[in-house]
Amino acid sequence: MKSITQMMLFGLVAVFGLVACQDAAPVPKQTTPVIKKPVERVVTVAPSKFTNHWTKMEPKTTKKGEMEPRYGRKPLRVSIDQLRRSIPKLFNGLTWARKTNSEGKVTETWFDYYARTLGEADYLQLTQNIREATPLFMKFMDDMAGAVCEKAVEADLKEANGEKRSVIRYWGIDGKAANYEVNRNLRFLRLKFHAVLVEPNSTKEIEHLRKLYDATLAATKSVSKAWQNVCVAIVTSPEFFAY
Amino acid sequence: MRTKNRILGALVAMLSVSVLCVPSVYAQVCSPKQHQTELQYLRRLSLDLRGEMPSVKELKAVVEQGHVTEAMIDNMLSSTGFVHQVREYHRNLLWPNVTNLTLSNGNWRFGGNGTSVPYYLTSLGRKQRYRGYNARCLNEPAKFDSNGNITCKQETLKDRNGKPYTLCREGYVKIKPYWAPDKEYKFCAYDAQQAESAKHTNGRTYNCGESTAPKGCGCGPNMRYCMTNTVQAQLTKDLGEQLLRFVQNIIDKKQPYTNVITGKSLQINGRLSHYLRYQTKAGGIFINKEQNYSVPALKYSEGTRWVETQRKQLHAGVLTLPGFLLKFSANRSRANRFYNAFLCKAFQAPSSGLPPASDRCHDEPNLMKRCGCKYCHQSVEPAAAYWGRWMESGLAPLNLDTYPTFDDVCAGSSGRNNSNCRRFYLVTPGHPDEDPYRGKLRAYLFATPEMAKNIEQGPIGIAQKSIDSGAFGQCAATNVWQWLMGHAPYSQQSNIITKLAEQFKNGKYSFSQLAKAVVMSPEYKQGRLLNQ
Repeated sequence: MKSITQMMLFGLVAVFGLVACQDAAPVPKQTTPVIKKPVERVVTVAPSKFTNHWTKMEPKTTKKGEMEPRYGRKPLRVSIDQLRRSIPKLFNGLTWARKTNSEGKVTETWFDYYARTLGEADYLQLTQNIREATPLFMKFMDDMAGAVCEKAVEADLKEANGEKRSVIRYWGIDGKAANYEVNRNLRFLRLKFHAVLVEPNSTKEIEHLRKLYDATLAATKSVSKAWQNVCVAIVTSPEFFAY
Repeated sequence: MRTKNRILGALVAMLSVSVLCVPSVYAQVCSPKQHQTELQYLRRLSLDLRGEMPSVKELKAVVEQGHVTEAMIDNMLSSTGFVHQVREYHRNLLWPNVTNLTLSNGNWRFGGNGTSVPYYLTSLGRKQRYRGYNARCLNEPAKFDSNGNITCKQETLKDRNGKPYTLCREGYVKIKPYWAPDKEYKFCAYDAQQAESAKHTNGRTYNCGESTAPKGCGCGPNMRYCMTNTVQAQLTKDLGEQLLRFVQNIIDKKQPYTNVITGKSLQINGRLSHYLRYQTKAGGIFINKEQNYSVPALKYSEGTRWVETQRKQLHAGVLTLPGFLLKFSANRSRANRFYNAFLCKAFQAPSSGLPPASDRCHDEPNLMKRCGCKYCHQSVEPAAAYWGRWMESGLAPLNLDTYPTFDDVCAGSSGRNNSNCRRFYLVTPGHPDEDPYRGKLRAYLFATPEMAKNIEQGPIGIAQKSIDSGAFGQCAATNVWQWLMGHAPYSQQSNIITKLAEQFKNGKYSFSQLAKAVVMSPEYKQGRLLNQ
């Protein structure tokens, strides 16, 4: 009898522990934290085919469970300053140079030149940074990606050591790389530029890039152009400029 | 048997708690989904806290470990990137760009380029005094008589209306100015006079760094009293940088964040040192001789050398730094910015607060009573009073011994002819209600006893009051939340902000710990999915 009472006691402890923890950490059980109608008590159910944060998904409302609505961090577009600082880091010191001195050192970048146009606050006429992905911003990203990727790929093709290459990390310079090396490099680029992990046994998150690579290579017969196009696609993707 | 049951029961209980209790996002450490969430978390952290994307090494570490570790966040918070981000955050808060300002008038500022056109002082007064007409010097070497006096070439020319006029122009001399000590430039000989003092025709001797009256005064040794537009542009940039360095110093030295509004340190570089030692004596638009701190003697060329000094009475953090005072040049504007940036409050009148223009209530001179205005100014005026002993459109304190609360001269009829009276004292009341304030320092106009107390306290008064009331901490938590979360806190999150503010206060106002608390909150960590 005693043992049954003790078992019940332990069971109660377990239940209390569960309830207490739920109160202390009322986070959603699935990966979709934001509910569009905060007054409604809902449970969100993630789709079964979740592969990354960019997968289109719709929260399903069951109206059964109880969950405190959370208002998580809002996605933001990268600022001009973040691009100014990140691009050299991502491309081994290369940046979107506007002026260079006689020693080849960058004295002015297009980031600085276009800062006002792109809504970077100067605190004279504009006191708030504009962080919207406007068509103008997209045009700018396109120009920037074209210029930087071209230089980066050119530099990579001259570099024998893969570890020192910024774009073509896993691809033989001789142009005879195996198929898996191309995919491996695309996985590397997805991780480096988008922070998206593509498992070694999966091609799901790199299929579109692989198609682009193959199509460009077939059309131009140029490995350089193929990687440049991949690089531009990666840098102009929302997965790069939003976070 | 009973013992076995107990152990079994305990295990069941522990298992239930550990498996079911932990939120799913933390439980799925090993799933691919969790990897993606953690990788995006790392990316957010890196961009927000360091202003740049994470390295491949860091991304791989998260893949291997399955999550972002606290040590990774601590590393980011102690990086130079975080200091950069904090500077950007305060740039957004305090708008320290004063590059549109003119620091001196044409009496002290050069035109020309020193090569094809000799440098010359642009003011009409100087030109007429030197040459008898609004003209610069000749582009030929200057000539001197046997006593070393400048000689000029007498000419009679005709103006655009054909009217003849006479002038006497000198040539140029070559000098290495303070802003380019290794290169000689052409300067008009009168403007380039090196004398420290000179005698006026009225018999008085004037200091050439303070007065332009005698013809014998120029820009002094190495042109130290005067500046070019390029020098001015550099100085105004430095004033903004000085403000950001003040904040950076607090973060670097892990000082309480309250020092941002109460601290007394100040960094000065060579350019600002030159400006404060030689170019603030002339009075004029922005400055006077008093700064209430000693200026280290650095050369203008030491632009990258910043030396720390301590400020004294009336000073309070960024609130009395030149970059702040010049950006928000009126006391009301200073109070308004303080409310916006450090109390998270804005002055907003009710939509129906203004009666028709024909209403006689608009004639009321006291803004704390005038219809429409009173809604805001009942708060604005007492807050602005804290800056009552600081120059408006200027950067200097109005110390009590130099600027008494009431000045007999300014109250008298001669007050109108005194530039100091006209600028800082009420000399000409515009309304019968203003009559009792004639001769008083402007800040005392319609001042209540409470406002008079605020004036004597200086900005440190409002700073300390906001810290003591908890409003400063609450606003800092709100601002940091907004910075990192990308939106202002929702009403449902007010308890989170209050808790953050309490932690902030109890943690000795550590700014980096406040940022850490925000980025480790579930709201930040989970974020919203990007397709929502």
